[in-house]
Amino acid sequence: MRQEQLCAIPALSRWLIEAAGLLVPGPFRSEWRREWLWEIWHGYSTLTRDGASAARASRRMTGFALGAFVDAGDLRMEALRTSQDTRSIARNPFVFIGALAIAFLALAGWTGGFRHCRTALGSLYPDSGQLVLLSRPLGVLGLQTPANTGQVSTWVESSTWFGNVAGFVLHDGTLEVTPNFFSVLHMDRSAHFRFLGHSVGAVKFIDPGRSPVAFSGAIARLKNPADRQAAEKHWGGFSIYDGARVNATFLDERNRWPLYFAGVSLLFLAAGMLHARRPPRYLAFFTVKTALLLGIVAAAWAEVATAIPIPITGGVDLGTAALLVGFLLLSQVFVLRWSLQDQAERCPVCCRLVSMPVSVGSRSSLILDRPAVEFLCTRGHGTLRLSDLTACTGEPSQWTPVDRSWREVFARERTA
Amino acid sequence: MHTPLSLTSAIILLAVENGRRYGFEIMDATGLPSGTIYPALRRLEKAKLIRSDWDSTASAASQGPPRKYFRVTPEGRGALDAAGKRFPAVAQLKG
Repeated sequence: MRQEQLCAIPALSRWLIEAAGLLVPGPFRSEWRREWLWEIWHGYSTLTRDGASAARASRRMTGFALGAFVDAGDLRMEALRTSQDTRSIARNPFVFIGALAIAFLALAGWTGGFRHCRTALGSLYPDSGQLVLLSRPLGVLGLQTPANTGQVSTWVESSTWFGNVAGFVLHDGTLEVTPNFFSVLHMDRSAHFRFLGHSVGAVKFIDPGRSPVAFSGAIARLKNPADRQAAEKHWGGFSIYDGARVNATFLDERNRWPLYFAGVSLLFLAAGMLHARRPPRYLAFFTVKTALLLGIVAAAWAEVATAIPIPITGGVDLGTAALLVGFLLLSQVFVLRWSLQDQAERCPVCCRLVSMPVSVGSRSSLILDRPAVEFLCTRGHGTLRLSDLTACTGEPSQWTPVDRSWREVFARERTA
Repeated sequence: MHTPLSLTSAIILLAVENGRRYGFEIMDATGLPSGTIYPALRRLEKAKLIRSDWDSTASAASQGPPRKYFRVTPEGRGALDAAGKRFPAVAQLKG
C-alpha cells in the first residue's frame, strides 16, 4: 500500500484495523488488512466526495472499522474449529520433543545465552579463588551488626592468612571503601564496576584512621589459596565465602538437593518403567521429555537466582534463598507429575497420545465391571484402560495390544 | 444440497445480486453493521454462493487502491430462489 493512500484513511480507523488484525490467523492477516483498509479508503473517499464533512466521514468509517473486530474474531474461531489436524500433529511425540527443544532455545535466546549463569560460573575478579568475604555473624533477631574500623584492623593484624583486607560499605549506590580496596581485588576501577552483583554509582575512598566508619564487611585476599580451609576453621564465627562464586551462592552445596531430588526421581521412574517391561522407545521418550522439561525449569531458575545480588555483607539472604529453593522444588514436582500423567496417556508402541475416550463399566458394579475410561491409539496399536477408581482400588492402567489387522480400521483416521 | 440460508444471509446475497458489489455498499443498502456483513460474506463465499475478486479497473479510475468486490454465482442464484420461497420479504424485495 502506498503511503499517500494510507494517509487518506482516518487514523482512528487505521489503528482499529491494525488492532483487530492481531486476532486474525497469521496466514490470512495480510490480505484481511488489505481488504478492510482499502474498503475504508474507498468508503471515506465516497462520503467526502458526496459532500460529507471530514469529521462526519471519519466517524462513519470508525463505526465501519469497529465491525472488523467481529470479523477478525469470527475468522479466529473458524481457525480454531478447523484445527483438528493441528491437534493430531501435536499428538506426535517427535513434534512434542521438538517444541520443547525450541522452548529451551527460545529461553536461551531470551536470557542472552544464560548470561547470568555464565557470569556466575566464571571468575568475577582476577585470581578470585584467593578472595574471601568477611562479615560479622547475625546478631539478635537476625540483625547484621556492622564491623567497625577497629574490627577490620583486628582482622588484618590477627590473621596469618590474609595478605590484605579492605573494608567496604554501600550507601545509596555509593561504595565507601578503604584505599586498598582495588588492590585487594587485583583490578583497576572500571566505568561499569559492579560489586557482588550490586550497581556502583560512585566510589569514595575513606581513611579509617582519620574518620571511624561502620563497615558492612571486608573483603580479603588469602596469601595462599590452600589456606582457605584453615582460615574457615579459625574464623568460624564469621562468614567466609569463596570469592570465585560470590554471585552464585544459591547454588552452593546445601541448596543443590532439589537437583539431586529430580535426578534420583528420574532414575527411580526409569527403573520402574524398565521393570514394567515398557519398550525402549517409550522409556527413551519419557527420559528425554522429562529431562528437557526439568532442564528448562532449572535453567530458568538458575538464571533468576544468579541475577539476584547477594547481600553486601556477604552470605546468603536466607529469606530469598528459601523462597527460591522452595519454588524450584515445587516446580520440579509439578513437572515430574505432569510428565508422568502425560506418559500414562501415551501409546507404549508409538508414544502418540491416545484419544477417543469411551466410558466403560458401571459405577454400581465395583467387583465385576469397574468404571474406567478406555482410549484408543489412533495408529491402531491397542487400547488403554484407565481406571476411575485408582485411588481406592489401586488398579493400574491396562494396555491391551490389538492384532495388526485392526490397523486398517485406523488407516484413514487423521482427525481423532 | 446447501444448508438453507438465514434471513440475514439471504438479504446480503440479494444485495449483491442487485449490484451492490462492495462491502461498504452492501452495508449501506441493507442497513446491517459491517460486523455482520463481512462474516456472512465469508460464509457465503465458502459455500460457493458468491465469488470475490480484486477490482483494479474501478480503482484506477478513482486513483485509489484496488477494492474487493463480490458477485453471485449460479449456485447463489439457486439458493436465493429457495430463500425467496422461505422468506416472503426476500421474494418481495427480489421483485
